[in-house]
Amino acid sequence: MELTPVQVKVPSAIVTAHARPPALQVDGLVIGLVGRRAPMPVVTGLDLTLARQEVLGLVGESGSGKTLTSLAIARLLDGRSVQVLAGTVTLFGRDLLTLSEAQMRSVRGKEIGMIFQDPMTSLDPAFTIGYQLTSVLRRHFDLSRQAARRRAVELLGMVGIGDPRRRVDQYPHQISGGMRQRVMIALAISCEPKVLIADEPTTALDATTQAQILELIKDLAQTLHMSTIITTHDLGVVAEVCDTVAVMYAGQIVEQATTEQLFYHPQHPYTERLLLALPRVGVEQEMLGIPGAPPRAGQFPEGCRFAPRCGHAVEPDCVAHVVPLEHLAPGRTARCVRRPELTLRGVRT
Amino acid sequence: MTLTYPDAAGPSVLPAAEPSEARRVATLRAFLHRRLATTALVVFLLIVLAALFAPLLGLPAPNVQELAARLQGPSWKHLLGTDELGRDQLARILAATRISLWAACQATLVGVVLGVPLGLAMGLVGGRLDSIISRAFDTLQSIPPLILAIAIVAIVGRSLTPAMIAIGIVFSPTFYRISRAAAATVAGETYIEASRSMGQRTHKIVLTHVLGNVSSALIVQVSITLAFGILAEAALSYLGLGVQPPSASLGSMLTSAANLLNAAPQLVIEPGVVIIVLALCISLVGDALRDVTSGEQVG
Repeated sequence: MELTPVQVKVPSAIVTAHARPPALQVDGLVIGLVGRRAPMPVVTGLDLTLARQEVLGLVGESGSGKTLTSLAIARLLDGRSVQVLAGTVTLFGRDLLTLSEAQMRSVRGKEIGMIFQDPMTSLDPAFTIGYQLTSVLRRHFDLSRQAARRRAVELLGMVGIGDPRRRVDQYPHQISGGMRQRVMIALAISCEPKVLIADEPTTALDATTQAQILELIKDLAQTLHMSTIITTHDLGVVAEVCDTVAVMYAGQIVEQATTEQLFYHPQHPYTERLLLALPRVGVEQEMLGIPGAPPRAGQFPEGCRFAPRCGHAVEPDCVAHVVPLEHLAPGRTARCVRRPELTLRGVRT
Repeated sequence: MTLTYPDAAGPSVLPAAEPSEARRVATLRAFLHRRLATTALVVFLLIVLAALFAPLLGLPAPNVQELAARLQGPSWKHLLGTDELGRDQLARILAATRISLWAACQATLVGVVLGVPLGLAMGLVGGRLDSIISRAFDTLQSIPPLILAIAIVAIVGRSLTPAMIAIGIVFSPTFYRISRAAAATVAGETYIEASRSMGQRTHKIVLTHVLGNVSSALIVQVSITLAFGILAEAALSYLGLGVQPPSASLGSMLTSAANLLNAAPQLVIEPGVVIIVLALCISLVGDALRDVTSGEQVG
């Protein structure tokens, strides 16, 4: 399989339209599984733009490559089995993939904060919350023990943990899952990063806690002027907090749009099917699943990767050639050859 | 405490107890709740203190012979009696205990120094180097410690330190395995990834997170090794391969007393009891430490 499916570059007009570089720009990112055999690409030629102070939702099924993408941005891929094979990741105009590991360490935490999926495992059970917070603070700032501790208490208060003075000395197992995720968020924002990457931040939480955590992330992003990427498989999460959405399928972006555009005027059949699969209150309609399963890495179809499951697919247009990502407008892309002739159903109000 | 502080940003009025200190205090408290373990610790410490400060106790020097007073039973002058050369048995036991403890420490230290750093490193690095070094340690473990110690003594001559170093080398695979397994497990945890995502340095992550999670297992292994070290020293010296006369270790005292078992059975019993009590106390303390420290990590 060839590694260069994406030929379309961002038109220079769009780049110059932004006087300042965007918060984060990913170009032609290829992530592959490496090992004894030839590298097997899992994410192929991913382009993504995160504007300043925007909340971007990265949506996709399990295995579509969204977690790998977010790890690759912070260069946290385990280099032994998964590697970035090509592409650039630019943070405020600075290419992260060419930085040394030492330079990258000062980017992590300080410029990119990360929140992980499972708050039960992302805190070390052997250390108190306060210790974990202060060690990060003192790593990035020249703070005394007392000052770091005061800041830790303050951060816990910021993420809505009651009685932070007591909580700061507790161990992770002494607090609930929702609170642990709040602690994770406190850790991620502790050094005031400019970009926050939340990888499925609410998947492991129950529904009421989910809403609170999303609200918290949204508020913090606003007050701390952070640009945020939230990866999720839940379009409900997107509708709630995201300004723009990128939909991933089988290691590619298939559509990117503002949240409103995407929900009301999807331009890719996969997005349409995702929207149809959403449960809605007060509408007498069966939820429609998408038949079939996403292709596995290394077995991606030659043409459109969604074609085997797509109701609109026709031979030979959809299966013969690699489908490029079409730039429809600034920040609006879609990857479908039949797009001009299709009228896709969005969410009806 | 039920008070809440809505103004979290305000200055801290509570004394900022160091978290690790608070944790240590909690662990200590849990430990002291176990009566058997506490007793064992006290007995062990008493023996250690007595052995260390024996010269200050006003006892006769351990090697001074008083041939007129040979093989005496316990008396006020000689609390535990005298041996076949009229030397004070109590003074000799204390001196011997010091040598035995020091020998056990040597073996344990060698085991820890060889095993732990390599184990932590290989657990994190993995790959082919890890396989090679792990197999090397496996091979080492297949050597019986006492046989290796005897072989070493045969080469370098009768001396305790080389023998104990040999025993420590044979113990190192256990330390290697514990640290390697713990490091490998911890390295895959999300919180290691999380702390990398916050820009922590790798060596700092290893030292805090990995060592913090493995320390309880290591403490237990240290205590087991100390106990075995005492027994190994006793065995070596009993065979006459350890410390040489006139110095005494608990094992060598058993040897010389074994010939006089009928005439003065107390000479065998006394060092024997000390060996048993030392090994038992260390094991009990180690067990309790394991229970206390592992209980605190179960989430």
